[in-house]
Parts: sequence; C-alpha cells; structure tokens
Amino acid sequence: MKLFYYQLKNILKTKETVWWTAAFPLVLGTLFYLTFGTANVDDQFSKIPVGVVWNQEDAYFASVLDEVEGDLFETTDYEEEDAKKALQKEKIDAYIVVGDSITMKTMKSSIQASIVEVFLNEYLSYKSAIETIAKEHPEKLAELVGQISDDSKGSITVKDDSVDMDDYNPYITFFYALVAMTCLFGGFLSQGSISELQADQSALGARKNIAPISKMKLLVVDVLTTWLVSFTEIMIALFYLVGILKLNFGADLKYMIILALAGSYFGNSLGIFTTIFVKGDFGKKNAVLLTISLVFSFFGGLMFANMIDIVEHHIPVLNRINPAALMVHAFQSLQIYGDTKIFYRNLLLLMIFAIVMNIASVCILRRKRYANI
Amino acid sequence: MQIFKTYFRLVNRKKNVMLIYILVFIGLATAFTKMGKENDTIKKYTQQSVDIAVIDRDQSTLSKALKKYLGEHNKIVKIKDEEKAIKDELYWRNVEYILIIPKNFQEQVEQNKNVQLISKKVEDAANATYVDEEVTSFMNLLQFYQKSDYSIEDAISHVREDLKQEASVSMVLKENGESAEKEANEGYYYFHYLPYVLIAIGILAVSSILIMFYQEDLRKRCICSSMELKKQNRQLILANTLFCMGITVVFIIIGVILTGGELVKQVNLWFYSINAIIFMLVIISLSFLLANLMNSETAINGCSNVFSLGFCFLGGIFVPLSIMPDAVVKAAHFVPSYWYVMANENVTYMTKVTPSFLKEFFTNVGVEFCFAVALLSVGLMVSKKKRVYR
Repeated sequence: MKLFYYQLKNILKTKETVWWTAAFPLVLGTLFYLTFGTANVDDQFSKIPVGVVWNQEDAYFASVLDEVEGDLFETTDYEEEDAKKALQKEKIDAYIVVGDSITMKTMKSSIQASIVEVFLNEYLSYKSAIETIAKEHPEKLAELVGQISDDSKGSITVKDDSVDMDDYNPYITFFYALVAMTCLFGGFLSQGSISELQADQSALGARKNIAPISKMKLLVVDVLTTWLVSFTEIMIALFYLVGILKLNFGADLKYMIILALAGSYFGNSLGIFTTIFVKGDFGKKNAVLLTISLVFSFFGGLMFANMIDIVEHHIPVLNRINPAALMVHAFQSLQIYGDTKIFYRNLLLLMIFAIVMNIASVCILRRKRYANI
Repeated sequence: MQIFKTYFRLVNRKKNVMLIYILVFIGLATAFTKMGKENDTIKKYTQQSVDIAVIDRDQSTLSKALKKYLGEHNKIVKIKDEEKAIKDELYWRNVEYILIIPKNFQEQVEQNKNVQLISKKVEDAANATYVDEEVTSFMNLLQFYQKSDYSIEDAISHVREDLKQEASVSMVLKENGESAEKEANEGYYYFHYLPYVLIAIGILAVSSILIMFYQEDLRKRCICSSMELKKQNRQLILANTLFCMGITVVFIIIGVILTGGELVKQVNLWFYSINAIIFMLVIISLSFLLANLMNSETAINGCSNVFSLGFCFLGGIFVPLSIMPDAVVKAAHFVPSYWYVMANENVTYMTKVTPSFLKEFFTNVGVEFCFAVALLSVGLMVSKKKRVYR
C-alpha cells in the first residue's frame, strides 16, 4: 500500500504530464464548444435576398411570395437589367422572372440558389395541381387556394423520429472523439512511469530493478496508479463537457464512468506497450505513442465528423479494431439504440485488446536481464 | 556558427524521431486531402440520391405509389420491418433515411383523418433531410386531389405530372464575362489542411531540439559564455528556420505529387508555397517561444496538440467558418490559421494574376507575417528574461 501511495505522489509530481493530459481535453473541449457546440439540427439559413422581375402580373405568385417574405426570402422588385446588375454585384443571390412561365437566373449553384429553385418547383407543382382541379372540379377550388399557404396545418405529416434526444447537436461526434483521444493520451502517464521501471531508461529504473521488491508488484502498482490518475482526468473532462458546457452526450453517468474506466485502462496499456516494445530513447517512445494516438483519433473522427462513416463503407474492419472508433461507436450506440448491447460489446473488445497488450508487456518485462546498459 | 552546427548535429541524432513524425504526418496530410474532397460542402440543396428504405405497412396503392416516387430520386434498400433491424441499418449506415408508412395509411387519407408518417435518419447525412421534403410535397399535392373528390389512382397520376414541373434556371455571367462558378483548384484540399501538419511537426520537431539547448545546466553555461545572447539566439533562429523551411519544401513537393504533378504547370503553386512558407515562419516563432516557456518534452507534446488542433478548428480548417457563431469568427481573426485560410481561398479560385488578387493575397499573408514577427519578439523577450535566475 505504501508503494501505491508513493507512486501516486510520484506521478502527481510530474506536473507537466499530469497538467497537460488533464487540461488538454478541457482546452480543446472549450474550443470545440465555442466553434460548434451551440449548433443544432435546425440551423436556420438567414433570409435569402431574391430579386423579382414582373414581366406579367401574377396574383397567385405574388400572394405566395408575400407569405414567405420576411421568413425565407427578402424580395425586391426590379426591372430585368437592374436585376442582372444587382445579381452581378451580389446584392441578390438570384432573381425570378415572372412571365408566361416562371424562370430563375443565378450566378452560381449555391445552397441559396438551390433553395430558390426548390421553392419555385414546389410552387409550379402546386399551381399545376390547382389548374388541373380548376378545370375538372372548379367547385372545390376556393377551399384549396386557402390551403396552399397553410400547408403546415396539413393533416398528413412526417414525424422525424431519428434520435432519442432533444436539441441534438450534429457535431457531437467531435466531442466523443475528443474523449476517446483523451483516453488514448492517458498513455503518456504510463509511459513516464514505466520507463522509470526500465533499467536502460533511467538511473531510477536501474535502482528499481535491483531492489528486493518483486517487479510484478512494482508493475501492478504502476498500472493502478496511472489508471487512477488518467481515469480521474477523463472524469473531470466529462464533467466539464456535460456538466458545465451542458453538452448532451445521450448517456447516463453510469455509462460514462464505465467508458472512462475502460478507455483509461486501454490508454494505459497502450502506453506501457509502446514503452516496452519501442527501442530507443524516451523521445522516440513518446513520438510513437503520439503518432499512434493521433492516427487512431483521426480514424475515429476527430478531424472529420463523418470519418467513421467513410471507413465503415470502405474498410469496416478498421472500425472494429480502432480503439477510438470503438469508443465513439459506444457513445453513439447509446444515442441511437438506447440499449447497451453494442456499448458493452465495444468496451469488452477494448478491454480484450488492452489485456492482450498487458500480457505481451509483462512477458517482455519479466525476462529483461541486462548484461550491460 | 557553433550553435548552428550543433543544432543540426542534434537533428541528426534525433533523425529517427523526426522521420517517424514526418512519415506519419505525410500519411495524415494525404488522408486529409482525400477526405476533404469527399467531404466537400453541399453545393446544392437538391442533392444526389440517398440510400433509403421504405417500410410499407400498408401495402396500398397510395403507399406503393409514394415508395415508387421516392425510388425515382433515391436508391431504395430493402430492410426487415423489425425495430432492431431498423436501428441496425441506420447505425451501420446501410441506409441514411427510413420512412415508415403506417397500416391503414390510404384508408385514413381517404377519410381525411390526421395521418403521421415516421422518418428516421442518420444525423450527419444532410442530404437525407431533403427526402422529408419530397415526401411532404407528394402528400400535400395528393391531399388537394383527394379533397377534391378524386380517386386515389387519379390523384396519384396527377400528382406525378405536377411534380414534373420545374422552373428553368439559367446562369448569368459576371460583369467581366467570366463564369461565377468557382472551381476549386486541385491543390486546394491539400494546402487547406496543411497547417495542421505544419503546426504539429513544427512545434514537435523544433521544440524538441530547442528543449535540449534549454536544459537548465546547459543553458546556464551558454548564458555565461562569451558569445552574446543576441548572437546565440540569431544562430538558433537561423538554424530553426532552415530546418523548418526544409520540412515545408518537403511537404510542398508531396503536395505536388499528390495532385499528380498538375500544380507544377500553374502559377497558383507559387502562391500556395508562399502562403505555406510564411505560415511556417509563424510556427517557427511560436515554437521558439514555447521552447523558452516549457521545460519538458511531454509539455511540448501537449502544446503541439493543443495548438495544432486548436488553431485548425478555430481558423476554420476542419470546420467551415460559416457554421461558427459571429463572435467566434471575430476571435478567429487573432489566429494565424484564419489568415492562412483566407489567403488559400484567394489562391484557389484565382485563374489569372490580377492586381486585386495580389492585393488581397498579400494582405492576408502580411498579417501572417506580423504574427510571426510578434511571436518572435515575445520569444526573444522571454529568452532575455530567463537570463537572470533568482
């Protein structure tokens, strides 16, 4: 027990490592939050400036435009030449020419232009329907004209039942990937403490190796202490993201704790594994751990939100072995499924990988005898 | 030039580590380029076909017609009508959109009752939201006919005709007769994501060497030496700059290779390169400052990650500036990567070197350069302060 206590103190004394593994997710989390934390699915487009050229009177179209004026579009009436100039000067995104038929002119195929196009296509469909009904059943027409601009009250609706959460943020996967990366970076803590166990890495290591204490005990204490510290850091990060920034992770505290435990254990094991298997100085081991974690995080969607999606379509097996992807998937499964089968399966897989690495590390570490250092 | 030579001897000693970083980041830069192309923001609201599934629990004329209509614009995938299967298919993204047509759908429509269709979609598939619109249009039009006492079959055929109506769209050219359609240059994606790689490698590589110079004992001895601090710093910075420029050139060459050599024939390459080089100057100054402030390699690792990811997200590299709140975009002006992105956009859409392009481009690059100068001054100041130990 004393060993545990002293090793814990030892780790906490390496302030820099502890500091940045703890502060790093907080800093990045805050940054993510500022840039897209407050976005949500119903992000409204701002009003689209549209010009209208009336070559002919069209009462129906005018009334429809009136309905969307101020919400979807901001319309200005022009003569054709002026409209063209306004378009070229980018005062308007597109202009509509009302004549025998309704046409649209724009400079580039942007989202705004496409929305105007969709709006016009819909109007034309409705107009065609009304004209057909007027020809064949004119008595029903009056009722219907009222309905065009009131179609939000139609009795046929499509309910979006996609996600079990309210105020869902489409960028939430970045945060999941950030938590996954934090777990992986916990490996830096264990790298530090394990290299102190290796005689060829530090004088302290040499002394520890000839100490009368069993190496196994030292190793177990190392693992436990670094696990505890990195677990605490991840919990702090989760608390900050969910509690203070009020992000909706779609998961209860219980699941977050379990994920933090498994994730930090894996990060730990990864750190130990890279320390033992990479030959060279400490800088090289650091480099290897850093690059491996970055690559895992990249494929887990840290930089591109739909990375996991793309990997799923091209190399699905990668998503099954990438620890960052496993963790992000675990989070997502809680969101979409609401049940925990995939969650536990992924974490179990994570633990299996971790234990395999542990066994490999222990085997190597046990047999280490130094002829000379 | 002793310090200068020692710097490169240290680089040589650490060449394995440097090589690991360079190779991995080349790999990442390549991946970014491929991802960037695939990820390109939606240009049109009406998008290409989406993989959808329609669960028809009604199997009526109406439901089949709706399904057929959706199938004309999208690809319909068959899935089982089980809750688990539905969730699975969405989760593994075999379909991006599922429409569930309830039982007695046609009957309820005919009786003018309130009917609800249920849709489920994958969160980040923006194209999928348009399918909701397609369904709503179809059903709204159908209602018109149904309420006007048309039979369902007649209504369906009329609706299909109506939905074929389209406004004709024509394109207007700019005042100078050119098309306003912006074509992104081939080099765009690679150079757009390059800052992440440059920042990460710059800080890691440079700081790890500088840290060795700044070890406590060694540093104290250097300060006491007869070589003035100014000269020492000058040599360090020169060595840094040379080393980083070398790395930048390597990445520019990789960029040319990745675009299949097309860039070599274009003048845009020069401007991309100028932008990258000036940005690297910023990174050099930043790492010089960081090496003076930090004491250990792990702290440097941390900084490298925070700055590379931080600058890239804030500057609008991984996430477009358009989705960021205005206040954050204003804050982004204080981040050098923002100016890099602006300059990059200038270059990308440039087809001819015009005075206005040059003005815009060099304004942006100029701001980057100011960042470099500012950071360097702070770095030099810190190094001077550290001369005195209490």
